[in-house]
Amino acid sequence: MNKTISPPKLYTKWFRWFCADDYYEELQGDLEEAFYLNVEKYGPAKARAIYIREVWLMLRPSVIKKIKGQATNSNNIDMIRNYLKIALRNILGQKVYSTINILGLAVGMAATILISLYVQHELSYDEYHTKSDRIYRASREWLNANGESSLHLGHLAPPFGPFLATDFDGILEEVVRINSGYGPLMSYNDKKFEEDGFFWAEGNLFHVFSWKFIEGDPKTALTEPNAIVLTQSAADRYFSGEDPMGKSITFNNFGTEVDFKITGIIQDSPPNSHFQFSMFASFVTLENFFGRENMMQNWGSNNYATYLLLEEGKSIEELESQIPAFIDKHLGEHGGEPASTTNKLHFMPLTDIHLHSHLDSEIEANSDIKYVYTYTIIAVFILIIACINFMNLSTARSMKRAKEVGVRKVMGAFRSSLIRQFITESVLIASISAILSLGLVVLVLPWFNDFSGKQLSFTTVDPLFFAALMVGVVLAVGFLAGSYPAFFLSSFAPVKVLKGSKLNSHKKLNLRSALVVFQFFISICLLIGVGVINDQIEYMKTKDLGFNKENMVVLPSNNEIHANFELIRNRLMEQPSIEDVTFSSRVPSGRLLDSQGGEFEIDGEMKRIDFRVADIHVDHSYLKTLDVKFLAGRNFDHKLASDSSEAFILNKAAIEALGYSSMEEAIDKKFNYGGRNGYIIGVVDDFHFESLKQEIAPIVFVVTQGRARFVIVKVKDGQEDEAVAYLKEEWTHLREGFPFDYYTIGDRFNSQYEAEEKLGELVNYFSFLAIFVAILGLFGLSSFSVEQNLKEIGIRKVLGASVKQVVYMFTKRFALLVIIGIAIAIPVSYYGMDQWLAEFPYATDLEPVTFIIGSVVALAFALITVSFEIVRGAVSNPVNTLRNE
Amino acid sequence: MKGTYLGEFQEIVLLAVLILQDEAYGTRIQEEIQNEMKRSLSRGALHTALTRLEEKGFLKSEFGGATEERGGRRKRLYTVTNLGKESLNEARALREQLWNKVPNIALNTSYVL
Repeated sequence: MNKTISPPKLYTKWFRWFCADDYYEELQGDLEEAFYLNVEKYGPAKARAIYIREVWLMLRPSVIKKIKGQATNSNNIDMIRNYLKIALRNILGQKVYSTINILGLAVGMAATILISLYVQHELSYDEYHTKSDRIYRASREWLNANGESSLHLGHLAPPFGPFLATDFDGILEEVVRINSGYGPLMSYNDKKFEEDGFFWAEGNLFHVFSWKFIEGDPKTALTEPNAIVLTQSAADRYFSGEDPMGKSITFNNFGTEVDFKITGIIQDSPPNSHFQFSMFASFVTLENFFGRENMMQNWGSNNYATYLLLEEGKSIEELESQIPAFIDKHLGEHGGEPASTTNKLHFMPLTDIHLHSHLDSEIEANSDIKYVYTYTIIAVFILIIACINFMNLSTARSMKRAKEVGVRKVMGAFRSSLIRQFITESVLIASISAILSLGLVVLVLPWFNDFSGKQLSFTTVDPLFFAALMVGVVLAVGFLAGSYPAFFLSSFAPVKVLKGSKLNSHKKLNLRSALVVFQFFISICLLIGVGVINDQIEYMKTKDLGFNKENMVVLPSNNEIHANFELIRNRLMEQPSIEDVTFSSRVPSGRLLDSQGGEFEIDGEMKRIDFRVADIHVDHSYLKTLDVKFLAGRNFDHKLASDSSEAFILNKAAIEALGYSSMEEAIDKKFNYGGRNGYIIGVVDDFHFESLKQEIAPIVFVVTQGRARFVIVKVKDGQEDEAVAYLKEEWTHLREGFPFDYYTIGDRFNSQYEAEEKLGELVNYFSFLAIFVAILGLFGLSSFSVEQNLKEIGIRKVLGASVKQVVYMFTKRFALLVIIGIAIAIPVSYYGMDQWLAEFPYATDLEPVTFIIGSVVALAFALITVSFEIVRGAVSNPVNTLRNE
Repeated sequence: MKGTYLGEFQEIVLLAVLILQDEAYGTRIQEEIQNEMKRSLSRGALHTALTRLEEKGFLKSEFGGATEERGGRRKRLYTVTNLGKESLNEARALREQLWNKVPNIALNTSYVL
């Protein structure tokens, strides 16, 4: 017999733990004997498996050890059955309270489940890559002379990738560059689409990321020029029914036309990816366009998302420590300083990008961990409010149940068994609510998906996670909500309650009141939060931006349009619905990402610009079209040829940053920007080019030398439809083959506040829910209180009190609780919302009216609910309530 | 007659104990039944049946010798009591009585439908 093989230790121990002592020797002996027989018969692996199965199958009442201190003929199961029976009777016997409890808890749980689904999804981003723990995204930060960050891009210049790979061979397994193709027109026969999900990617892409191949070879799919890999759904769009492998698809962008051969089909981008793609084209194709050598010298074109795969066992810190030396080696000096003083590289784990990365450029706008926290806190609060209802109503009803407790105690029930009974009751209620809440979630999920832009469903979640979540919520709520009544009710002294002496309920009332105050405190905070968020959104949408954003239609441009701009402009201007036409490299509502270095003259001396000045390439009429206010100097003049080569217009922020004492002083001063020498000819007032979530940046306007990316058409008021119809006609000619697509600056500006609007909307619904649940509780409490005091009401009425007086007397008490809630909520929400607004450079003031509205709404709801029950009690006929006394 | 009712599985267990004679303890019984019934049987299920049978008085048990395979643990050896033998006989007699009543023709399996 081979003694080195033994049964699994863990299971042996586990069996020892649960097996009754009387049987242990015999059974363990049998198990072991069978195990060694099985080792000979089937080998150790199978023998172990059989052993494990046998141990599990030993879990039978006849084998399991009896729990200590219990009689061997335990009536445990009977007791649990009894608890359940009593609980069910209590639930059914008190329909109003049960409904309030179950409904409130169901709403709270539904909110918790929804938010959990959302949070789990948010936290799961990019985790599906098998090497996700080793993948990092590199970003580049520029510092100004004071060491402050002036720009931080999630993209690098093209040479970084290859140099990182060669210089850190041994730390890095792979470096892969990805570059957006900026929506080229892709076509196959008559099928044409502008592909936003088009990316150039290096051949090792699929070594780093684990998107699954349906067809093709991941190792070679992107190594050849003119090769392209499509996602399944993109392939279906172009090649419905055909086999796409080996077929060609035509790429067209800014006049460049290339045929790409399809070398692979991959699964669609999973929704929890930090960017969405529809196709990857081979990077060598791009290198052939630009010239590989040129690209390796282009440190200024920061357009390449660069991902690193660490060697196993290496840490990113090892790489980070060597980056300054790396930068100095390749970038040399900048104005006498080593490049590493102004240039930095940062590395972020792939799985952090979605929630933690908010750089000046990202492949796609990311979400924010703050929203995850906010949503979670709100959901938990609603659940707490619902639990409070449960606690309050149970303790309020304690008088009714006190007798039950007394009788049970006299009959010999231990306090522990009473606690168990009450906990059983609340877990039962929680379970019923949980089932109900699942139904609610199913109902609300489509709306929530629509709202959150996600495709959450029960099928996409890990069933184990979900089961654990449900059991966890039920138990947590059951214990949380049930513990107080359980301990409170079980503490009654049987002599007192059975003798009929009134319980000292005033002391208990204090806790109950405190809980009601807490409920309203949270609800009112949420209401005020909604108000402030809405105020801020309204503020951002309506604030004067310093230029005219109305009636501005933005269209994509191309080289051809740029070359013949004067002609095209004149032709468009003939159209009566069009007021003005201009073009530029950037349009308001976009981001200011372009910048170059330069010098400026101050006190007769030329000085280096040591902060970032963003540039916008424009044509002569740009500032006039946008209706920007001039503070000094003049606009570009197209009669002066020199204006297109040596004139600069700066904004006020730029002039202030340069240190001129006045706007006028800057006029005619020498200025050099990106190698272009000239003079400052004008200063415009600051205006909000970027969203109001950004500070106004220093900007320089130059008449374009580069390519114009956008055409802005200013349309006459109320004639947008005619103008757009006309432009559609024109643009189909000018950009042949491309679908017509436009947007207006006003809409684009507003869409930048989507995250805030979603937050506002969510808080809105949730504050409604919170108030609803809190009021449900108040309703229960007030109706209970009236019921308890019907006799008092009767006596008062007999003695001459009017209905009004009775109502006032009762309402006063509840109103006071809400008012205390308000009194606490106002300073807390003031502080909280002040913090929230502080994150916006341009924020609305906290208006008292917002606080008043929130408070009044809560108070009004509360009073209406409470008086509803109280009036019913107050108008009741004293004869009915008093005759039995 | 709830107390003395003999289930099908219990009958098999009793028979196995009789077959094994002096060797009737857990693992051997399990093996024997598995071999005869061609189905896997968990030790837990067998134990439950043995305990029941003992409670009913059909079996009695005593500790036998320890062996090395069992980590030095003793075996519990089972023997069928007279009561157990009686009820086995009873069960068999009842069954045979019923079998005798079945007309032969009814037992011819027919595949023509």
